Amino acid sequence: MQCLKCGKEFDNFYECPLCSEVWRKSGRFTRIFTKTEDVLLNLFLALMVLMVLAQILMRNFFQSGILGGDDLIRHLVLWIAFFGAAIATRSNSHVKIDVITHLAGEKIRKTIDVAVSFFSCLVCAILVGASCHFVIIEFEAANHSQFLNLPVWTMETVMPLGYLVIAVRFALNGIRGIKDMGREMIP
Amino acid sequence: MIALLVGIISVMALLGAPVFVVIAAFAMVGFHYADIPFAALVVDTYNKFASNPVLYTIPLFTFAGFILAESRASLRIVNFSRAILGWLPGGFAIVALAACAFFTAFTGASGVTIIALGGLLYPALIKEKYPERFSLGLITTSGSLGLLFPPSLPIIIFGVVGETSINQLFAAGLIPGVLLIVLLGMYSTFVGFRSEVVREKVSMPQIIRTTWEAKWELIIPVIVAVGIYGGFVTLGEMATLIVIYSLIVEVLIHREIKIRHLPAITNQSMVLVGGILIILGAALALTNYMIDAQVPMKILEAMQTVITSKWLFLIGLNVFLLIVGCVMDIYSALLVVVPLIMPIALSYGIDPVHLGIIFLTNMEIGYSTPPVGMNLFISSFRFNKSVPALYRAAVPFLIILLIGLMLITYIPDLSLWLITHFGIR
Repeated sequence: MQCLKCGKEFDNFYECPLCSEVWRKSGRFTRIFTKTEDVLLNLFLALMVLMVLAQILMRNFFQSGILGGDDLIRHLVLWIAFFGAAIATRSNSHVKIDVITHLAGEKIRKTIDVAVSFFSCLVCAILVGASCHFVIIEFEAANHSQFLNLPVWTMETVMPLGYLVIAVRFALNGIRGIKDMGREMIP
Repeated sequence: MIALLVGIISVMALLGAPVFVVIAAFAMVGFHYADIPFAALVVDTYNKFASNPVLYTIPLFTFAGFILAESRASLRIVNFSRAILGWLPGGFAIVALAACAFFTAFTGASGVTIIALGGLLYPALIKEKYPERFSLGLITTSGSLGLLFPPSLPIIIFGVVGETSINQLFAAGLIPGVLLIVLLGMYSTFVGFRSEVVREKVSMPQIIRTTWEAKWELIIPVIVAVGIYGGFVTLGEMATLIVIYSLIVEVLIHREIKIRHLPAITNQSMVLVGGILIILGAALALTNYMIDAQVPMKILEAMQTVITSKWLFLIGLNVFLLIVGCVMDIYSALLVVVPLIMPIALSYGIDPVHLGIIFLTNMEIGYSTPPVGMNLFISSFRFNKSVPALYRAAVPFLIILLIGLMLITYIPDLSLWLITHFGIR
C-alpha cells in the first residue's frame, strides 16, 4: 500500500521508507510499546464493528440487545481517538498550520521543531493533570456503566494515559532535536 | 500577562504547533482567567464522546474509505465513467471529476483522493492531450470535490458540532455538489474543444463490461441512500454495514487487499481519525469557554450596527469563511468556527442546514487556495511540481468554484428544496 505521508509504496507498515526511520532507530521497549499500541487500536476497531453488528442482528432477529452495548461503542470511540492521536504524535502527522516551516531553511526548521515540541509537551502535561483530576472526580462519584457493570472511571482512564503518551513523545522529539543540533555543532 | 500568553500561543501556532495543542492552550488561558478548574477542559470532551450517537460513524466510514482507496476500486470506477462519458469533448476530465467526487465522499477530503487517484488520472489526462496546467489544476481542486456528498466526514462533523440533522445535511448537499461538478464539467468541455482532445466512441459492450466489473463499488452509494432515506437502519449501523461490505468485496471477492494489510490500513485511517477527534476534544472546551464568555453575542452586537440585512451578512460570511479556509484546515475550521457563527447566522434568519452547505463549499475552495490549501501541498508532493506552479494551475478552477459558491449562497433552495419537497427530517 501507499504511505500517506511520503506516498511511497510499501508492503508492511514498518517498512515505509520515510516514516519508519524513527521505528528503525528505536530500542526494544519502544518497539514493543508501539506494536502493542497498534494491536490494541486494531482490536478496538474490530470490537466496535462486531458490537454494532451484534446489536443489529439481536434487534432484528431476537428483538433484544446487548445491555449497555451503545455505551461501550461510544467509549470505544474515545479509546480509538486517543490511541489514534498518540500514534499520530509518533509519526508526527498531527494537523497543523505550517506556513513558516515551508519557507524556512533546514537549520531554522530544526530549532523551530524543538521549541514547538516542548511547548506541545507542556500543554499536554497540563491536560494530563486536568484529565487525572476528572477521572478522580468520577472515581469518587462511583457511577457504573450498564455494560458489564464496569465503573465509568475505568473507561475514562484512556484520557490521562493518552495525553501522557502524547506529552512524552513530544518531549522525546524535542530532546532528539537538541541532540541532533548538538552533534552538528561539534563535528 | 494575558496578552503575552496569547502572543506566545499564536506564534507557536504559526510555527507549526499541532492545532489541538494550540486550541487547548487558548482554552487553558481562558479557563485560568475565569477561575474555572482545568478539569473542565476534559469534561465537555468526555460528555460529547459518551453521549453523541453519531460520533462512532467517523472511524467506521473513514476505515471503509481507506479500504476502497487501497484496492483497485478507483481503476474500476474510472473505467466505468470513461465508458459512459468518454464520448463528450472533455469527457475524460469529467470522468476525473466524478471519480474524485466519489472517493472524497468516502475518504473525507483527507488527501487520500489525490494520492489514490492522482497517479492514475494525471498521466491519463496528459496522454489524451489535455494541457498540463489544466490537468494539474483539475486534479488539485478535485481533491476536495465530493465534500458535499454523503457520507462525507466533514458533513457529519458539521452535524455533530452544529447540532443539525445529518440526514438533512446529506440531502441538502446533493444538488449543490452536482452543480459544482456540472460547472467544472462545462469548463472541461470548453478546454477539451479548444485543445482537441481524443474523443472515444460509445461502445455498448464496453459499457456493459465496465459496469459489470465495477458493480460491487457502484452499488455502495445506492446502499447508503436506500438505507438512510428508507429508514431501515441508523447512520451508525449503515457505517458498520459499509465497512463489512467493503471488506467482503475487496478482501474476499476481488482479493486485492490481503488480510495482512488490514492492520496497516486500520493504522493509517485511525491516525487520521484520532488527529481529528483530538482537535474536537480541545475545541469543545474552547467553545464552551467562548459561549460562557458570550463571545458570539458580543460579535453579533458589534455586527448588527453595520450589517443590517441577511444578504449583506451572507456576503460578509463568505468573505470571512474564504479567509478562514485559506489559513485553516477544514476540520479545525469546522470545530472552532461553526459554534461561533451558528448563533449569529440563526439570528439573521439563515437556515442551519443552508449554513452548513455554504460553510462546506467555502472550505472546499479553501482546500486549494494559497497559502495553506492542503491540496496544493499534496499535489506538489505527489506530482513533483513547485507550489507556485500549482497556484497558477488552480486559478481558473477557483474562479469557477467561486461562481458556484455564489449560486449556492444566494439561492437557498438549491440546498433546501430536496428537504422541504421530500420532508426529510
